[in-house]
Order: sequence, then C-alpha cells, then structure tokens
Amino acid sequence: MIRRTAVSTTLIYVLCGVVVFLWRERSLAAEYDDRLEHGQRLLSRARPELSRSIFRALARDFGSRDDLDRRIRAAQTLVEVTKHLNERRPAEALRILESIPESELSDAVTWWYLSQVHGLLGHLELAAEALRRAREMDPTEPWAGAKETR
Amino acid sequence: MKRPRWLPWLLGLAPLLWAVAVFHQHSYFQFGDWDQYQSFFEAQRRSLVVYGQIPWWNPYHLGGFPGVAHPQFNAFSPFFFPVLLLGTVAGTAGFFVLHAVTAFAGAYLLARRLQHAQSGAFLAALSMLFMLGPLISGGVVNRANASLVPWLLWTFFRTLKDRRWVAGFALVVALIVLEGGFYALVGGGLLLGLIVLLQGRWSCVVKLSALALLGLFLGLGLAAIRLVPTVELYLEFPRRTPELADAAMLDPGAFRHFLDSISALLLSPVTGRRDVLFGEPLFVGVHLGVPLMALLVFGAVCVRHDAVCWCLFGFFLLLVLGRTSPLNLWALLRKLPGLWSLNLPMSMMMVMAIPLGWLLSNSLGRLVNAVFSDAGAASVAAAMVVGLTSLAPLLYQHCRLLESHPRAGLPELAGIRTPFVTSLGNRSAMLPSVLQNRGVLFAYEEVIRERLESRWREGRPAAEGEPGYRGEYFLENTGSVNPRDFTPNHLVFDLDLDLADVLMVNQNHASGWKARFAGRPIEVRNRRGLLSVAVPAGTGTLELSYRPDSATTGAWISAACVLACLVLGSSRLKGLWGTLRLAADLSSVERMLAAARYPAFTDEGR
Repeated sequence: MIRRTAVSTTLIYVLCGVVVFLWRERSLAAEYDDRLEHGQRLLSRARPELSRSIFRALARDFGSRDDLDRRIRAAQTLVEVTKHLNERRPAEALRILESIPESELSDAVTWWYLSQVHGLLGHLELAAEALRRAREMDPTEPWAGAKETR
Repeated sequence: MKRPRWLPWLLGLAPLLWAVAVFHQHSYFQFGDWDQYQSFFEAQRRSLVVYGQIPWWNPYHLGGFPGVAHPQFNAFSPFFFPVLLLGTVAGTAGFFVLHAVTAFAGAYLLARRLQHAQSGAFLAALSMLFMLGPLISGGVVNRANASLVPWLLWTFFRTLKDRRWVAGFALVVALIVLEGGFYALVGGGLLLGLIVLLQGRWSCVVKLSALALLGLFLGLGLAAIRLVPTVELYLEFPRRTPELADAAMLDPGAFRHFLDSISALLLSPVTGRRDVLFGEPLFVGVHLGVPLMALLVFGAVCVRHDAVCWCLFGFFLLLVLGRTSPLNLWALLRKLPGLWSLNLPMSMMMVMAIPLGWLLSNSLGRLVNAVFSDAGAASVAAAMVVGLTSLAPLLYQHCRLLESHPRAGLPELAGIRTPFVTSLGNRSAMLPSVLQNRGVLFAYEEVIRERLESRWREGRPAAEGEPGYRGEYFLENTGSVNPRDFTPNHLVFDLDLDLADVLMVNQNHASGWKARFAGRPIEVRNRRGLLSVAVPAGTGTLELSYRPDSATTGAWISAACVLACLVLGSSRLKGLWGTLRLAADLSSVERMLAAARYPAFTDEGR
C-alpha cells in the first residue's frame, strides 16, 4: 500500500520541478534581454554613430535563442574589433576577425567590419570583396548609413 | 544497513569520468584567460626545468617582474607538478583534473564527517564539479584552488576531536596560499567563521576562533616563503579596482532581476560562460539542471530543518551575486581591512558549492525517507540513482565545455631562440612567445600592469625591432657585451673595461636585484626604468642575481613553522594538548551541521 506521505512528498518534489522549470524559462528571456542591452551599451560607447544601425541589424530576425546568442557573441567580438580600430591597431582587429569561425561569418555586420579593417590595412581588393558580401547579405539601410560615416 | 566498502572507491570514479569528458581533446585555447595562465605556467616551467632555478624573477612578461611573489604564480604548489611532468598544455589539463579530484574527495569526506549518507555525500561532492565548469571554460586557473576549502573545514573538524590536527589545518592553509588562492582563503575563512558564529555559544566562539587563528597563522607562516614576497609586491604595486569602489551595499532596484540572476548563475543552459549580466560579471551556467535545482527548492520547503545550511548558502549566494543582489555583501566585504582589492565576487562560487552540497544531500535524504518507509535496499538504490543521474548531465554538459573555444597551433620547439629576447608579442597569444624564449612586453596581466605602465613614463624596456632597442644587455658607452650566463635569476658577464661604464639590462628595475663585480658588492640602480650597474674600469666578472630579502626572510619563517607543525602534530605532545583541553564541548559545531537523522537514510555516518 502506498503511503500518503510518499505520494504527497513526491508531488511536492514534482511541483518544485515545475516551479524551477517555469522560473528558468522566465529568467532566460530577461537574461538574453540584458545581454542584448549590455552589448548595445558597449558598442555605443565604442562607436556611438554606428550602434543604432548595427544593433538594428543584430536584433533583426532573432527568432531563436541560439541565433540571438550567436549574434550577441558576434557583437562582443565586434566591440573588441572596434576597440582595436579606435586604437589604430588594424592588424590586431584583423586577427580577431579571422579567428571567427566560418559558420559565424554569415553576418553582414561582420563582413562590413572586415571590409573596414582591410581598408585600413590597405587591402583594397579584399575590402571591396568584404563590402560586396555585406551588401549581398543585407542590402538595407545599415550599410548605406555606415558608408556615410567613413 | 551496511554499505559495501568498495562503494566510495566506485563513486571516486566520478571525477575521473568528468576529467575524460572535459579534457578528451585538450589543446592550446586562445580563449578567456587560458593563454595568460598557460604562458605563466610556461615561464615557471622553463625556469625550473630548463634553467634549474626557482622562478623568483619572471623576465617573460611586461619586461620582467617578480615571479614567485606574483599572486598568479604557483610554482611551489604541488598542483603545479602535472605541468612539470607533462609540459604546459597537457599539464594545465592535469592541473584542473588534480583540483577536481581534490574538490570531489574533500567535499565527499567533509559531508561524511557531518554524517551525510554516501549518496548524499556523493551529491555534495558533485556540486563542486559543477562549479568547476565555468572556471575551466574561462581558463581561470587561480580560482580552482578553492578545491582545498572542503579540506580546510575537514581538518578543522578533525581538530575539534584531536588538537594535533591543527598542524593538518595549517598545512591546508599553506597549500591554499602557495596556490595563490587568496579568494579561497577569504571564502574558506568566512565559511568557517560563520559556522563558528552560528553554533551559538559565545564561550565556544572564542575558543574555536583561537584554535582557527592558531592554525591560520601557522599555515601563513608555513607559506611565508611565498607570502612575504607577495606582500612586498602588493606594497610596491597596490591593486586598484575602481569599478567596484562606489558600489552601494543596498540597492532595492536589484530586486527586479534578483531571481533572474540566481537563475543565470545556477540554471542557465549556456554552460560555463563568463558574462556581464544585470550589471555584474557572472560565471553564468553552472547548469545544475531542473531535477537538482528542484531538489534545492524542495529543501527550501522544509527550511526550518536546515536553517544553518540555508544561512550559509544564502550568504555565499549573495556574495557571489555581488551587485546583482539587493544586499551587496561583496561591497561590505571589501570594506574590511586588507580586502579592498578583491574584485570578482564570482570567485567565491566553489565555496558556495559546499553548503549547497549539504542542502542537496539533506533534501535527497528527506525525499528518499518520505518515499521509502524503511531502510531497505530500495531506498539506498533510489538515492544512488538520483546521485548518478545528476552525474550524467554534468558529464554531458562538460563534454561540450571547450568545444567552441578557438584553438591554435604552437610553434615547433626546434625553433626556440636562445638567448632570451624581449619582443612586442601578442597579448592574446603569449604562450607561443614564451615557448620560443621570447618575452612579451605588452603582456596581458592585471595585477601590476597598470602601476608598472605608469612607471614606464620615465623609461621602459624596449622590444626587439622598436626604435632605441640596443639588445637585452649592453654597455652604455662601449656597446655590445656577451654574457657567460643569462638565465632568469642570474646573469654573468666577463668584463674587461679600460674606462668605467654602465651595464644596462633590458628588464624592469626591481629592488631584489643584487650585483657583485670582481667579488665585491656593487649597487644595482634604476636607470630609465631598466636594471643598470655602474661598473668601474678593470677586469672582472659581474654577477647579477635576483635574490629578494623578502624571500630569505620568508624561507626562515617557513622553516620555523615546519618545525612548529611537527611539534604540534607530534603524538608525544598529546599530554600538552590535554592540559589545554577546552572546557566546552567543541563538537557542538559538528552536531549543528550534521545531517538530520532520517530513519531510512542513515548509516554509520563516518
């Protein structure tokens, strides 16, 4: 015969599991929002004139968490790149960009940054190619705006 | 019910399985702090293996700084042994594995000491491995030494029964210091202090504190050979952490994200990442998983039974959360004398895992006891199943821990350049340079770099290829000179000078350098930030050695404390301890923390 205590304790444990699961789901959204916000703050400190357009591109179409996570990672990498560019260390910026796995280079923003770095290093053909890839992936406003700032 | 004796040994396989999961494809990672610590390891390994010297001086980073004294150097620690045995890259994996085994065994033994059942103790030990994930992912080598904190408590509890164990307690303190584990020491001290305070009897508090302080000072004395030079280094380069200076202790606004930050810390599925979240850098993604976390919440339902453990866990949780907590205990901690330079709250995570493990163990006991009315095989089996099913997700998560980290190749060792050359280097990839016997002038180092670079305004070492680079050593007027010996701690030049000259060495000046020319002491000066010696005309051998007085003082103190430990730990002195017997029943502390007695879930305890 199953004891009443056994049933009630198991139920309480299962209930705790449900509470934890719901808590985690709710917190994940807040966690990702905060990451996005943090990335945006960092970028706006580094290059205020670009932050809005870059983040519009980053935040667009982030249906899945994995995708957003990848984009945030890309943003953080770009912050590093921007820092090196601002401090006139294009070679270091290029090294970082080249270390990004091919699978993560599917982002127009990254290609655009690559074009900027190649431009600074005087690799004009590579710069043009990277810019072409950026436009190909995302022909919309950020690149037009970005071009003006150069 | 009697348990098989081989069971703990079988459970002991867990950290080894974990090690295989994490390091099945170890490599040189250019991610987080991996490169920094591996390059520090290599600098120490080269000094010990290639030159046969204790790494008192490290010429490889920032143009040279004191080695052993540096808090991130750990050549005196036994945990450094895998690096010596296996080389730097494989040795770093060995270093972490050794810490994992130490943490697991310590937490298991401690829980058993506090009368937790085997499966509960296993869960408590596993919680330490969960905390190691973010440290390994970020390559934060010098936070892994919190693996010794359970041993700190275990030896202290042994001391309550047999005072001679104070020598063992001191030894653990010394090991933590030799590892550079200042966060671990503060965290372990706080945990021990809270346990002593919470046991409630003031007469005992005084006596227990006296016992702990005796062990602490003895341990600090044992490690003085490293500690005294470190104190000297900190006095010369006081650390600043301005970003935390203005953090408020009370921030009601933080309530908004309080639960979210706890979830990010313990539940986030992004395993092992350091992220800035809710305004604080956090080691996100311990990823306990829903079943274990549910066990913790289940324990909270019966909070009155585990009030002390909840207090301890809650305290360290708030501490680790730092500014994301409405009550910023970290800011309070930093107000204490000597602790103002602590800058990363998340460094206390492994200390937090100790009370967390006790809570998980107690909850498991409570659950199993409620479901199974008798102490039959079914209850034991159920508890073991929970323990092992907690291990599985841990292994699965950590299998993928280092997967996405960028890896890089290392230079062929055949291309090693001798003698030593200072290069500009790459602060994100320092290990290849050190392997090639090249210094990295603009190195990534966060303890002394800021202060050192401000000194560089007067002059600094030059890197090969920079304008003004005249080699690693030169005579100011005559020009080039060849050394007979050029090693990290010891430089020897045979000189034959018609006129007096100044020998310059392309490394930062530091007070521990001493020189002798033709057998006579001669002053080492700071000239444009570099080491320099004004040499008189004549023929002779100029010897420059790095021998800081603090190291000699420390070595004498260490030797004296080794003797003291031998005397205190000696069985012949049992009579002496007997006369010092404390009137109060000191084992009240152990009783207070002991697991609640569950009829279906108890065994012989220890």
